[in-house]
Amino acid sequence: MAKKQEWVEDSVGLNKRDRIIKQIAYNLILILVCIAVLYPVVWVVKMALTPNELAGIGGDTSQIQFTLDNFKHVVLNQNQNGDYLFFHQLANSVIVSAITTLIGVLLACTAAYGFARLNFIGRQMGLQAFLVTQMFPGVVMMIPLYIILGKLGLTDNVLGLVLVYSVSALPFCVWNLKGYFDTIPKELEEAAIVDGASRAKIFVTIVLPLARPAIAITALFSFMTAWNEFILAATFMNNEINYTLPVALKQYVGAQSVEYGYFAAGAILVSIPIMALFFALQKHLVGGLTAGGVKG
Amino acid sequence: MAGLTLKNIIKRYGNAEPTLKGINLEIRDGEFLVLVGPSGCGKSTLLRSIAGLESITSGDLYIGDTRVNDVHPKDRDIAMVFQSYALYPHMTIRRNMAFGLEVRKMPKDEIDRLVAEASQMLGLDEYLDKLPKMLSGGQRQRVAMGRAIVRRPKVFLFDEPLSNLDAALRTQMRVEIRRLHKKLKTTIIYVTHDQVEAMTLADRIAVLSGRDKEYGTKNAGYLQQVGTPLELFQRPVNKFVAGFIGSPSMNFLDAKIEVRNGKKCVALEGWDAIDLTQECADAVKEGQELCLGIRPQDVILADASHPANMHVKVDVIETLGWECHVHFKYGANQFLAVIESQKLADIKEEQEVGLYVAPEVVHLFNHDEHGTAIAHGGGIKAAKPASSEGDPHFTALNEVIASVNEEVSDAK
Repeated sequence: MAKKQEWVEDSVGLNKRDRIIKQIAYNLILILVCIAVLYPVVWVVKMALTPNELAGIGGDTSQIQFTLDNFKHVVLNQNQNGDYLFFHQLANSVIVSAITTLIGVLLACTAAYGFARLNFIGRQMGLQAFLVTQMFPGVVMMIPLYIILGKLGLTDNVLGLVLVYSVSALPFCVWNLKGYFDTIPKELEEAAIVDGASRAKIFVTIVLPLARPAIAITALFSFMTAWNEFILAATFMNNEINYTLPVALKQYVGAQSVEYGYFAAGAILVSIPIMALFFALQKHLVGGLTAGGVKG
Repeated sequence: MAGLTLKNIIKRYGNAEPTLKGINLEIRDGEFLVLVGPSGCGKSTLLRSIAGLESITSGDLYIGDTRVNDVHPKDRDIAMVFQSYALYPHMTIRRNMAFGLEVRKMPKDEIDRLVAEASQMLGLDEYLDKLPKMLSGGQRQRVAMGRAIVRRPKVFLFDEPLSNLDAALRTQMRVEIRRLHKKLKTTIIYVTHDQVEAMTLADRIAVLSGRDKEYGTKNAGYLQQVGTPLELFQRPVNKFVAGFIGSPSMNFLDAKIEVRNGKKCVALEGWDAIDLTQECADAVKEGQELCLGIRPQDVILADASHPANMHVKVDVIETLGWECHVHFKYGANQFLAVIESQKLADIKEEQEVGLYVAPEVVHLFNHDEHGTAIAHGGGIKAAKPASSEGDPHFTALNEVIASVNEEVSDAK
């Protein structure tokens, strides 16, 4: 491969010095891009580790101090009743995101399989209807959703959020999974039918294992949608003990002042589960699962 | 094991013209039947209908004595080998073969025994714990066959199983399939578009017609002829079968029946004429216009004992080694002959030569839409007893039969 590249470059008349200059130029560009991407992250980490009074845009930059007080404050923050708010809010976020993911993946898998493989009246319409729902941002639906949740008695309740998030994530999940199911060769299922397997058995033993990468992406998407969502959660949740973490973070941005240190520490704490989940699912994001199944 | 009966099977997708237009076919218990036809003729559709993967629009399908039109594929007791192998890519070869048995809740030790038996039969022992992607095309196809064998079904269905393999492997797998049939004696229905495969494997061949240039799909989807390979080769019922079976294809020439020297003959370009056997002469009348069919292998260069009855001009010579494909110009027509290379030593392109076509190798067809056969000269053996050895069809057939016999006796 390396040899081939050398040949190609030589063939366009580049000598060794030009090649080195080209390499350096490429690397410089990449380094600049990395800095641009990583700088905000580094800044947030620095803010999180700087005492709250010194953190922030207008903070005194002449002295450098490191402390974990910001994290301590965020984690051990209590309300008037002595409840540790962070743990309640973390639990809310985990419950909402986990159940949303579970419902999203379960419903999306079965629905997408139906759309991909079965012929039924309204199949095309159904798929298009799913697309149409994606044309409107969640904010447009806020008032009707608030009224519906109010009637169901689910405002200020994590179940209400689960319901809303599941429904809003589902169309994307269905389309995403349907696209993947379409790529799984039909012959595999036909072979299983002839082998005597039922639809359910085929779905569980043949289709789902082969759709692992798509399911992992769908799960990640559902989880992140629920985990990061702010506007609906801020609207539907009134009591701070019922807040999810993004809403809780907003407390540190007040009308008069911004608690940059706490905000940065909170932001890092909120990001950790997402990163962990991404690393956990990463091994499933592999291609070529259907290799060797059919000639093609 | 069981035979199959197909009664007036019609298959139609939506409101389109039917793909299968009334197929009637009796497949005997233990028979190796090859369904052959050009692309789009509905042979795969027919096979999938037998498997239950496609519904039948009308007609009756019996496996043994049971009508199975509405029986689920899993309850038909059939096994199918797909063109694309269709192995479960995430399962080992062992699980691929065992899957059908596991689904049927067979005891584990019984499954192990059957898988071991099938893998031994197909030489797959060392691959049992590998994934399909680690195997070559031929091995994968063998696994697909193994998956079918372990189930001990009543009927095996093969859907162009060799078309994805290279030529050498195809020949080898052809022998293996034939050997498998000899051993298992299970009914096999085998779909292919390759007529050499059909000729070499089949007990009987069923030819389905496809669309043609002149009539589109009008004549497609009909069963044209069912018979042994030699029956189809020697006595095709119409021009379609005559042209489809045999490689290279039969030559067709427009001709007229004339009486010369008191005998009926087929008059061709100029004064060329081919005499007719009694069977042919009885079936035609003077002045009748018809289509003459001659297989390229049945043409010989004229010599003292075989006076020329066709005078042609050599157009192109394709050398294949032992034999040559010689394309001749004959009036406005092209005419192909397969001739031994050594006999062509003195012949050059553009040279005029005389050919001899024996009355026994002549096939006469009507000029109608179906090109129905009027009469056949009597068969290739009668015409060329000495040289039939060299005929590629017989060579291939004999090779397969010999190698199968040899290997079966080795196995014993």
